[in-house]
Amino acid sequence: MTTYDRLFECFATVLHTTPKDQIPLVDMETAELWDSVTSVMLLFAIEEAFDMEVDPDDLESLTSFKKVLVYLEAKGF
Amino acid sequence: MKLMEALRICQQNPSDTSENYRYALLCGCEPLHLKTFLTAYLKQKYPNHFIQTETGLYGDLLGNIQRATNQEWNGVCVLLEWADCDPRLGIRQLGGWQPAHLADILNSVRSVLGRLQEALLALAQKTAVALSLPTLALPPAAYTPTFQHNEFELGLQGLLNDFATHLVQSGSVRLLNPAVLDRLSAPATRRDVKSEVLFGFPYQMAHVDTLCEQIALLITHSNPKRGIITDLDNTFWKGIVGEVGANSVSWDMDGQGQIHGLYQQLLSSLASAGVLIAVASKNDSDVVKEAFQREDLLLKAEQIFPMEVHWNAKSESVGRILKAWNIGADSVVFLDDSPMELDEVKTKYPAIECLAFPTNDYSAAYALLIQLRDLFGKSILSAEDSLRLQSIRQAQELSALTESGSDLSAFLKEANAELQISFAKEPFDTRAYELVNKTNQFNLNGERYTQAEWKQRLDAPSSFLMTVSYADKYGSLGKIAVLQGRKDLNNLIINTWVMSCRAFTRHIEFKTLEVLFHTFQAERIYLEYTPTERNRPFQSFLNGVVERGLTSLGEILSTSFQQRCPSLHFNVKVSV
Repeated sequence: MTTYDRLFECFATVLHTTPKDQIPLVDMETAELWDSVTSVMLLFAIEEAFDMEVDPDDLESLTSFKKVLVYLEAKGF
Repeated sequence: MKLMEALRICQQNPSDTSENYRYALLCGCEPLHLKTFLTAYLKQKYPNHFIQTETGLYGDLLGNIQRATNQEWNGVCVLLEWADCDPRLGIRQLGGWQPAHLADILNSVRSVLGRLQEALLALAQKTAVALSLPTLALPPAAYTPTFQHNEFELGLQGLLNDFATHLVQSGSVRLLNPAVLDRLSAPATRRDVKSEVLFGFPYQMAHVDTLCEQIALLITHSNPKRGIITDLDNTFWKGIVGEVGANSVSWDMDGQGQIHGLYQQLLSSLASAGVLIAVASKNDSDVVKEAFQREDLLLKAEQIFPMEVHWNAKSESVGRILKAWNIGADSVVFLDDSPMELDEVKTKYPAIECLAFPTNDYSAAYALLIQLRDLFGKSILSAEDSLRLQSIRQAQELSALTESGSDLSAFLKEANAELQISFAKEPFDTRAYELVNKTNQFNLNGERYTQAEWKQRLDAPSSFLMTVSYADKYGSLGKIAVLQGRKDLNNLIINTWVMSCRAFTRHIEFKTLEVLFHTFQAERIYLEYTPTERNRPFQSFLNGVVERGLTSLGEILSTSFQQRCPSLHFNVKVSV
């Protein structure tokens, strides 16, 4: 499973009512269901799926699918 | 269970017509994944129900409990942590850990625990409550190094023990056993400091998983198993009695059979708590009789019924034991050291839980003892538990008498039978609730209820509850029947009627109807009847008393009931 696929699964599970084709485009600013609780859910789901810990200083910048994907790839995933 | 799996389970829903089960998850932290995991485990337990899990406000456990008391729930799970007793015992508030503060923290914890106790007891009067005591270690607030115990932490532990003891003694709050949590979730790995500081959620995910699984188990636990059928050789004792003789089988350390002794000790404890114990052994019955005369046995022969000892198939023995006990195979555990015997019984009775006795593996055998305690454990022991075996023996004697064509009526007349009938709805009768939820054969419609649903039925306007206890010159059967219904003008509508199979063939059901007609001055009784796979005994009874045959609302007229009723010989005491 690629990094993209694993991340897609995390987003699709947490934001389960978002249409699948919208997941790669999803953004905290525009997604209605993405609130602070969803952010924490996503964070834990990603940490579990990739068996890693997100640095607290990086949290604020991880506000879209694309940004999280870039972050993970930069971390070597 | 992983978070993603729990989320997926939460997103699955049964059909639109499924019933809704509503639970409360009350904690002082952010509920976050606690809610996800608890909902997932409840959904696994009740796959055909909608599960709605509601939470309260952050940082207000006491208020959450008080607000929940005014609502209807199927169950409430309360997760207490030290920070709920005093925020200075958490790590989100900077209240100071000065030595001078410690006495004040102790006083504050004493006061909060007192209020929590009061609120929990009030909540438990309304619904089932499961409570978890603090699972996170205290912060380094005391002045000693953490490897040295101190007066402050001992004081806190003492307050918590008093709080927990009082709740357990009340019999209304189910307390999660911290020792089980310690076994499943290492205490040092539970806290997630980053998550607690950043999000107000203090747990590592693995601990959330364990905590929610256990609290879900506790809040939904209802019907323990009821009977154990045990093998003898290399199970009940070490050795083959037919080969080494009655005096050479062992169950102690000298004979290297200690684990069998512990098994006997557990069986004896279970028997005293009302669990039925039977033996199914391929053996020479005379040799087994001789072994059971040994004084050092931890489970005595009189605690066992029936004893099936012969050379025929074990499934044949199991069939006879089930008939004598008159309970379903799904309520029974069969233990044997032989995989072949376990397979043979499982093939004939798939519903029986078959467990292998691991003769040469001390750890596995000890784990089996724990498993048995979990399968048969009860929240509360009732008076009926100690009477069960005696009454089953009586029931079988009565049944033999009926089958032999003896004069049952004459026998009953001589028995000095006494019925104690109560119409009291308060305090909550756990035995009545238990009977409603586990009786299969003499059961009007097979309906099962959660504690909250049952309380709701009893609280409805014009609703009545009738419980029946039986005793005769041979002993007491305790509380054996429960009816719940409502009065509508001159009619009674019965929604629930169950009677223990131990009370069959005594005409108690006829006397129950007679008392109902008399007490309520009713002209008709309507019974909300549904046939089930197992309520044939109830169908047979109804066929004999209802007008115009069996329907979903069976009608019994006072006038014609008198003609159909056999002669009854009971002393009846009615209380309200």
